[in-house]
Amino acid sequence: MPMLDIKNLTLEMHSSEGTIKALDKVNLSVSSGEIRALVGESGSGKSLIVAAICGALPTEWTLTADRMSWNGDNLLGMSAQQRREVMRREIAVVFQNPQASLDPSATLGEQLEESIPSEFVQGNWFWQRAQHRKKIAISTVHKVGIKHHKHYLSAYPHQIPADIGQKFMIAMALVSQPTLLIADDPTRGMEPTTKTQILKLFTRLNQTRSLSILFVSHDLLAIASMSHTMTVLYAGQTVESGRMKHIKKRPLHPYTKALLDSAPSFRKDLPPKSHLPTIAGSIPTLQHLPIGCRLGPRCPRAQRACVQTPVVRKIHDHSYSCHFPLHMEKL
Amino acid sequence: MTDVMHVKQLTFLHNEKKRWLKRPEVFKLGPIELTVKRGETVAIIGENRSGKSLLAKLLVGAVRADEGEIEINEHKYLAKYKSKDGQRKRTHDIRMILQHSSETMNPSVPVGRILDEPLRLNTQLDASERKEVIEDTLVKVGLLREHYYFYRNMLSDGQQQRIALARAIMLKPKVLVADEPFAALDPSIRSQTVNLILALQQELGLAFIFISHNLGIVRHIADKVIVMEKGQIVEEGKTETIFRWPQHTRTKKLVTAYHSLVPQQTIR
Repeated sequence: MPMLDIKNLTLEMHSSEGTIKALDKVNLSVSSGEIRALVGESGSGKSLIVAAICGALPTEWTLTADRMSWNGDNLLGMSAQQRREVMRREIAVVFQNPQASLDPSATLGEQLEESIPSEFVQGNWFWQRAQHRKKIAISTVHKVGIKHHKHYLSAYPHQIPADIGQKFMIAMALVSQPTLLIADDPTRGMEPTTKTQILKLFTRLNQTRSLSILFVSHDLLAIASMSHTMTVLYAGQTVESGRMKHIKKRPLHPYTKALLDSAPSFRKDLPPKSHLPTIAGSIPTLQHLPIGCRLGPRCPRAQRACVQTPVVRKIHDHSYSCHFPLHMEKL
Repeated sequence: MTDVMHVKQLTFLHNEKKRWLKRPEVFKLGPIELTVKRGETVAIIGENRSGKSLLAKLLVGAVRADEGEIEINEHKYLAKYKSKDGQRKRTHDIRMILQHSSETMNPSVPVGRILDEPLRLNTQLDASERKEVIEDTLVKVGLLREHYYFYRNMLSDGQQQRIALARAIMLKPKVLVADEPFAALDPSIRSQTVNLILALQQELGLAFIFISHNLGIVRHIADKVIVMEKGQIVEEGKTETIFRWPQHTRTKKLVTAYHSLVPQQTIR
């Protein structure tokens, strides 16, 4: 049974021109011990899904879902108290922009020590507890690959470079030993060596502690190297989801194929300096979403039927929503 | 292929004075020797804070170097220029694209005015000629003539990147320097930009120097790779050579990190 199970999640924003469906019937599930990648370009609603899971969305937007449950408990029906309890201990989130999501008025050390749950701290007297807290903080910081703990733990968020901030956000998320880690673009702007270091850390945690990870990113190289399953999102619609292996070998949705083609590293046969296959046009803005399949205007295989939203179809555990999927002629 | 750019003994020294109980911070870049051929693509890779962006800024003259000479098309420019040297010492032959193209555009000014500025400041063309040049360039980067009247917020990421590119090639440079041009772009837009740059290079014979963390793209479009560490060039060579037989430890680290991400078996 999946730990986090979301079915037909719809998010509507109300504006003067009417309602905009920022998320349209999104399905997503994370089983325990699984690394699920959530792929999509900017504006596809990745971060909105993360915010919806956290319960951090503005209250004037309407969020509806057929099912949104955490270990069988309905997340939408929970009281704020229960919701906070879940978010504090079981789900941890690494937000996108470390500089913006850290408290600017406290040092990193204070913020990290604050997020250590009190039952992890040993000792009877306050000085022993403070010492132990500090020890946990230092070891967590080392674990994510920050070397100069003395310097960085006493620094304020504006004093640190962005990549240290990213690592620090990961440290803060891991310190409460969650069962699900939601990482919202954790490797953005990192150099390759640091990136692999972080990805290795995630893989190790996944294997040793069976930590489930929802990895939100558009870095396909990173995703392909570590995740087990993948969900592809386009303009607020899930277009394809299934096992990484299957999707990589045989994408059924034209958009997934375009995404995979966009990373030249995936293709050994591509001669250098050759023209990369692309999908024309750009991502539609929320105000001008096309009706039906939202890829429609950009899709090379689009036909008249594409003005109707395609239903989700399933082949084993590989689901897709497209009227004219790729590779289907062969089957 | 002829050499379009020579860089000799380019040095930059950042030296914060020693103060009471404060260790002086010293950052030295160079001396750097670099030759770029016509139509060649050079990639600069390296860790954060290894001086990649600084090198790019020094090359275009956005930052004043402490020593060194940059020779573009047989014209020598002192990298240690003075601001009063003024226009006659400037060159149109080297232009730069900055990392966040959207943040480098003035939101309150239409695209036409943004693109007009380099022409107004650097050429003797009158208004109607300038407009013609701008519209031609817009078409060249795959936009419409109407985009002349658009504002920044009306354009998508990819279009903004195209405007940044248009601004860079407006003065018909020989060398284009870009600081992480692909980092902030989404995959599908990124491929479009890569294609556009490749096409422009073929058409105009541009030499293209760029900084990137994305080794997949580096491997795809670069002829030559430069690896930097702590302000020094530690290794340079042909792309294939660097990726197959890295020599320096830093290069080895970067390349193995990249290879560990790439699936070894061929897909399909």
